[in-house]
Amino acid sequence: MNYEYDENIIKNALSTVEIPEYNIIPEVDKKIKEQKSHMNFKRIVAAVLAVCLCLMFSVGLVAAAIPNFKKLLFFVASDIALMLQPVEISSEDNGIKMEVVAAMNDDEMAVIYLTMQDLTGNRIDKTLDIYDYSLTGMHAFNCQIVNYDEITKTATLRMQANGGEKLDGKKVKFRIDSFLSDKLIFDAVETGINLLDIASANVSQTVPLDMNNIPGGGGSLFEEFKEQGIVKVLKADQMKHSLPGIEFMYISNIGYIDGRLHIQTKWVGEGIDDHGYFYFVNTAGDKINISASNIYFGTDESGDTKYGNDYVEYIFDVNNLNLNEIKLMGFFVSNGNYTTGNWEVAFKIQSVGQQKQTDCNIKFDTWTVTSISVSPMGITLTGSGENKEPQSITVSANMTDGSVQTFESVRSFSDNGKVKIKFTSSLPLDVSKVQSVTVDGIEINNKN
Amino acid sequence: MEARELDYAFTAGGEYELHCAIELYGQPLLRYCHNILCDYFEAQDAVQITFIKAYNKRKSFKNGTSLSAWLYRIAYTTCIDSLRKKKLLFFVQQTNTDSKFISDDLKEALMTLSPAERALVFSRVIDEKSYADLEAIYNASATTLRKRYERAKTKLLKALKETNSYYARLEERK
Repeated sequence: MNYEYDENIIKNALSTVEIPEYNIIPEVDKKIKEQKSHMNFKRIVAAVLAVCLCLMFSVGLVAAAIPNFKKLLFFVASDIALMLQPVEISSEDNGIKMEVVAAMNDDEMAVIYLTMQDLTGNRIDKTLDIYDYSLTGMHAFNCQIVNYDEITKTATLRMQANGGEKLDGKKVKFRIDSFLSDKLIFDAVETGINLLDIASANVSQTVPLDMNNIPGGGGSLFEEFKEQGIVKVLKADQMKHSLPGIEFMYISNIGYIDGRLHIQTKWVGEGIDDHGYFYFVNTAGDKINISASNIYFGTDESGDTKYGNDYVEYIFDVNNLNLNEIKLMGFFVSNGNYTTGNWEVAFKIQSVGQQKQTDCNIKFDTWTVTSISVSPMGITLTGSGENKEPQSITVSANMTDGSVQTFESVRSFSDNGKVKIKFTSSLPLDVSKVQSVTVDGIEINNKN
Repeated sequence: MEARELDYAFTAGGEYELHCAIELYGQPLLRYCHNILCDYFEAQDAVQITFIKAYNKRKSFKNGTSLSAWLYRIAYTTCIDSLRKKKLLFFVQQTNTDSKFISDDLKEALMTLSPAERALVFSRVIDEKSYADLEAIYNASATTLRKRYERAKTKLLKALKETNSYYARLEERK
């Protein structure tokens, strides 16, 4: 081997990589200043955690408690790790072990880290999707897998629940009744449908559907259909157009009704959560955004519509599109395993730190914010009315050192005219340093 | 401030010394992280973290030793941590990277190496680090590093040959 020659080849290749200059100093300075303001808070939380650990030692639980909790700390951010409290209570059923490893909460929201391990088979994989689960006193849930260990067949999940009331110190029950795994994803499915060949459906090719007697649907046109009360859908089962590789559904009719493209699908698979959607791409292969909706329904023996979910009709407003230049594509998901069981644990949750609440009166068009709570986990706006667009509200925390903390994630919960919107960040909020909170430009001083 | 002066001043220094270190090593470290991560924006984050860690832990830096090697060591562990966390949290394959500054052919070839191998090849070929410096950065003996480097180099040459006809032709002429 010609040593220098080889090295020159590599050098020439690597030298083709030219990256732009980047002004590092301001960014590093800013972050160093930010971390100084978090230091005191971290020290307090670390001290609290140290006390907790000492208490655990004293009751002899440490031998069982530390390993799994430690494993979890390995892959959560250090700021989050500081807020986590070990729980480590497990439940086993149907050869599957569920363990709540750690939790953190404030008065309104709880985050639980849990593991699911298949002790006998391969039902837990990295496509695991917890299907039916609950946490007492909570309403809005979100659960996602954060790690999967191939060797131990263990999935670690993060479950976030919102909408709670005075959670601090409460004993809660977390329960899982079923989950899905072995997920199959079919993306960019070529439908083989030529949009120019689709004809308009005349009256005899449509059937009426009562929008008050359907299990569900969605999309931007859905409200319009709901207001109409009775809408026209395509007559069921007028064709059977299968999509490549997909056995759990097929296109059962297609046509235009009142200028809108209707694609009717029949779902014949056994997967409890088989789902998907159609979309359009332009000649460059880019997705096109258009008004669309879907409606679920069933049919009786005579072909009339009834309540059910055997069929999904996808409806698109394609009036402004040049059908010569677009292609119909699909995205579909099916699950190979649906596993049921009874996995349940009860444990006490303690708030991660102090929480401050300030009364206010901020009026929006459809609702009014009556109080603002600040906790290490984020900011909660509580009020009354109806809020459909929580993302449109901007909230930030103004800190005593002049810095401003913003929030990346927002979740809302409404019930009986009561609205709660939670703004969270990947960094814990130092409550003692929050001077005021700005809600859509209105500054509310934080009570001390 | 010159590199050698900084080797002595960094431990007891403050923000001025940090700024000098960033001016001296910031851009080379950005390139280094970019070659490991193959993602420009992640490389920016990694370099920021490197300097913040270095500033916070400056008391542990041994006065008079090579600040450059110490910073590269921090940058290397930061990049490897970042890849590990990314993989753990999002199941992202290491090939799922995004950089418009690397040609597709080269990226494909670089991806045949592990991140540790990419780092080593880059330190040796582009940064022209001595094996003494490499020992400090990668915490391994010069003999081990030499073997690792040779293996990585052979692997990369083979991949370059397979992914880019220009290098294949060069090889044939050799």
